[in-house]
Amino acid sequence: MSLGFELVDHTADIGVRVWGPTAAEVFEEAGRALFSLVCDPLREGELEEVELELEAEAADLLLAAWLNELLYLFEARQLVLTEFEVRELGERRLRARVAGEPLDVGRHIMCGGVKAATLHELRLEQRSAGWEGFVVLDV
Amino acid sequence: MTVHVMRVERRDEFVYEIPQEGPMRVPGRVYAHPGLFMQAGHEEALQQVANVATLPGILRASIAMPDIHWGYGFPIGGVAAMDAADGVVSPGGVGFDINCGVRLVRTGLGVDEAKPRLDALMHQLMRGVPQGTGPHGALELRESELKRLCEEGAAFLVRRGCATGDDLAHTEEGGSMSGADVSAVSGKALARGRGQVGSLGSGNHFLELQVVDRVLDQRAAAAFGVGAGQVAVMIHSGSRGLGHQVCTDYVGRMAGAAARAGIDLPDRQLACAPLDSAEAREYLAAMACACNFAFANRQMIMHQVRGAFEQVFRRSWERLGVELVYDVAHNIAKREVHPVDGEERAVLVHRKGATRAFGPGDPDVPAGYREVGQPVIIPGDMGRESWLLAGTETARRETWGSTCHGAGRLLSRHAARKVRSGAEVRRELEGAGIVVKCASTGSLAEEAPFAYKDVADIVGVVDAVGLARKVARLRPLGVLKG
Repeated sequence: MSLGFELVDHTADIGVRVWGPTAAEVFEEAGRALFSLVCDPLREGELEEVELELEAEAADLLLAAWLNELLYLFEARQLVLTEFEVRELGERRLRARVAGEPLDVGRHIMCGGVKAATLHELRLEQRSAGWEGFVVLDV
Repeated sequence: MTVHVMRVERRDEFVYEIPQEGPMRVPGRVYAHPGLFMQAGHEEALQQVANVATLPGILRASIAMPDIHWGYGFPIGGVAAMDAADGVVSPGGVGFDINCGVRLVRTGLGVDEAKPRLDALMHQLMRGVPQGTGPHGALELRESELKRLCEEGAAFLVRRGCATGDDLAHTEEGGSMSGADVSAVSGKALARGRGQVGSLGSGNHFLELQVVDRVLDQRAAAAFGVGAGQVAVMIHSGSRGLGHQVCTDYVGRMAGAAARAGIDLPDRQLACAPLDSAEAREYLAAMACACNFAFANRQMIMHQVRGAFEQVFRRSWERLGVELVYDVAHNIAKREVHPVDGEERAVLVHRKGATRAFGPGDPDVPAGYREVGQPVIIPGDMGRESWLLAGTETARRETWGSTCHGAGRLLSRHAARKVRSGAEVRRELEGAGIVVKCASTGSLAEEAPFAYKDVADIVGVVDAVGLARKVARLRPLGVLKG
């Protein structure tokens, strides 16, 4: 299965369908999908790195927790994330390294913004050729 | 667990019922305009009304207002009251933007005085009121100060000279929710909110300069200090990143708590906890902090608005009469006492995209408004109109003192972008004489008038069924978008 994402219509929110050969790649692609709705990177300068460790009660809840953690890094640490590397992914635990550009309010172009990843219709499934995830974002 | 909506019965001209079936504990009741009822996404929204009806302790009915649309977990426009003894609280029934709400500010200026200065005023408002995502609110706070603001709400701003006692008196809950305990708010939530007090945010949030163009209830309008031809400012914003993180934190915790309490949920975003559990107590304490953050946020934005008027008109805001009419929440859960089967009963009312609408004589309505009922502020889309209504006793009897909250979305953001570009929407609005300022032109298309139902239809329904009374209509002169 190739790697990619598409935005799916949802009246007040946005659905994101993500697919990839492995679950870890689905997580990474979901991070890219999220930031396509948050802020355009400048693609210049030094990146700041952050190591993450997350736990949740199920693999799909981990996907929502991951996206919510990335939103937190954007708003609180002011990082426009461009690199997402999932190093270890279990059923209930994730370890990752992400990196991004320090936010420059005057130069970065915001893309509307996302409030949170919801649990509504959330899923992460293994298909015959790879993995697929679906998350509804509150925008 | 799954719930299937098998049928919807029309009970009255504007009232529909989803009969109680399967795991539903109560029926669903939807107030709707027949023409609005069958629009896109209505099946999903009705399904969500039925899903909410399965929650433990829900009383009477799972209610939806005429601006209902498909949300996540609860429908937007949903009202659900839970028994205080054996009910639950669901953070999803409040939403991520805790105490998202609307504030209406009147001025002593007539439209003819303001029009020649419209561009200058909108420019000054854009400079004074930060928009879009990110950390750049109008108020710089240390963490200890942010914590106090979370517990005190808009009252925190009085000492800083950014709020008056009159402002607090004209804010729901006096601008300060009781039960706020900042120890229930995570460090992450505080970090997200810290730089954001006094900022609009993005999405459907806005600030509009408006003119009162029609008064339908002279007595109520006079009580609210509002008259035809008068310039007003409407502010729509919420608790920003702090509220979003509080909801995220507690939905995460309660997804597990619900399962442990043996509650089978049709949608995990309905994650909830029994009101007597630690999770529920802590959520309500944190939610109250987020509510307070939002009251303070809208107060701070109004403070900036007063400054902009002073700059442009070279008079103090007091002399210009820039006064708060009222500030209402439309995403909130509140402990209230309501009549149930002839008895006064303590309940927890979830309002998710619904506004409190207490009627005449209610002690929770500010003294000056008590004879006519609580002001209810209903923003429409940025091209057409918004409304000022008054609460009613009927709302108290039928909908836990609640009414609608806005126009309600018709098109998804993506679909709206396909209809017209942001630049075209801007040209159309400007063609109609509306000054447009925005952080991102793209978001203009997402929030274009055609993406929303006509708020006149929504307000028409709540007025007809008595869930609020029309007082005045306002039209946009200038729009500042997040």
